[in-house]
Amino acid sequence: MPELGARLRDYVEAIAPPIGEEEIRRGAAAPVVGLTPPRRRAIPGLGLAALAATLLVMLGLLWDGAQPSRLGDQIWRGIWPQSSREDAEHAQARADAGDDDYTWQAPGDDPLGLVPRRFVREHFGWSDARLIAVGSVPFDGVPPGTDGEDWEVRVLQPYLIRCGSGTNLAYPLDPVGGTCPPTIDETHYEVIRVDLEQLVRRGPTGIWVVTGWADVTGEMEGREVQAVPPDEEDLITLMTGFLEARLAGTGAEGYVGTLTYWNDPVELGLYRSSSGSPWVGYEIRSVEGPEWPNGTYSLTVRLTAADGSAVEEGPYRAGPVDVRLGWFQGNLFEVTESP
Amino acid sequence: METDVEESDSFPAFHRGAEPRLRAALVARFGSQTGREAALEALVYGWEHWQRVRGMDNPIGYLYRVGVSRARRLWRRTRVVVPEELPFREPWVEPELPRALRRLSSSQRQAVVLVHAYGLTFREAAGVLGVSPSTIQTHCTRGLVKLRSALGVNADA
Repeated sequence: MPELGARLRDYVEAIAPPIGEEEIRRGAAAPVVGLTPPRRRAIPGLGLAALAATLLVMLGLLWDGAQPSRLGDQIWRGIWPQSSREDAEHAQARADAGDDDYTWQAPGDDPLGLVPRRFVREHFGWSDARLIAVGSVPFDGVPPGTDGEDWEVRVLQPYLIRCGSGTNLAYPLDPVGGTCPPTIDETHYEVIRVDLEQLVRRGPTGIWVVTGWADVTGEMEGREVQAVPPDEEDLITLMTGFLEARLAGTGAEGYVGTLTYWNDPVELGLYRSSSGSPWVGYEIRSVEGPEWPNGTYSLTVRLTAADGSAVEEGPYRAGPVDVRLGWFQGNLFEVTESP
Repeated sequence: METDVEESDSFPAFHRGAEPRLRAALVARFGSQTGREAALEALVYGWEHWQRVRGMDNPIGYLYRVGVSRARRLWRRTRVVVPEELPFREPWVEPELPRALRRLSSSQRQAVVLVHAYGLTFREAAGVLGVSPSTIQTHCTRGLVKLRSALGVNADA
């Protein structure tokens, strides 16, 4: 039997296969339409996977970050809402006693919820904010009595964007971004990084205090940007063209990017059903989106074959990049027999 | 004339050394799906920003932080760190191994995997994870004790 280290390595390699250079290249981004031109970066390679590009738009990897990062610079240091470590110790004791004036600072396993939002509301007057990223500063050593699990972080650094008032007109129906319009222009948000620490006690019963913040607006490499969604009419025109080509029996290949169910490629009967009967009719069953902040739509379609059989396919997904390239992507994509 | 000579500070050269470490560290912490996805995104970031990343003192450690940041966003989708079943079964992977790994803390799992499965020194593993070598040693020791106990193997295995 192989020694333990080799068995462990074999196990990791089995559950998470190596990432090759080609996969990394496929994961790189393609150009985006509709975002602020001066910050756009020209990236070669239009044949790259647009699904990954959409993800990268969301993750903000499309931008140069032309300015030097100031993420490490502390703009303000102090303690909030207490004003000193002694005050924090008193607050911890009150929270332990169940005093509602302090228990909100000990939110168990959700330190990224109320504390940073209340801070930006009271400190900056932000009436609403959204969490877009979380950084951390590790604890150098094993925190006493915690066995390391989940509490090895010394400083949590939530990044919050400021929501304007009213409806986000580019994403009116999105449950997260629909009520969070940008505050700088139509696509850009203000961003604050908040430093959270448990100064008195680590673990789920410890209170969290703010020990610093930094204005990182414009330095998030695109994570503070919402994409301009594709025009829904263009999207429907694209899908209609795809479906018409399938009925015509030619020219549909170019409309399809990568369709997978998890990591398994999905084979599409482009022109015929699984029984070999040609498609004779179609219907766009649903159009959902755009999803904030990457502007992606999800569509499902129904195709009817000459022998009367039918399938439902979807979700086809297309964001601004995909519509510009004229194709659809799909993860968790399924083809199901339809009655 | 074409040449096959690869510069030592090229991304392909970096990729060969860094990829297994990043993937192992992130998979041990966040699971096979989220961890591998985060490792991919970190490597994509490294490739896209190679001119800047190549000049860093500890580019693997930096990209590990990038991966952790990505994983926290992905993390909400799944919390399965160690799958119950392998996607495919290999005869030498005993069924107890996934269960035994789940009993370790994420820090212990990372330390054990990096040091004992991928052969990193304590210092190298510490560089990836951004902690001290003594922390890695502590996690390794505790993790191995738990792992060997769960698997019923002696200290020589």
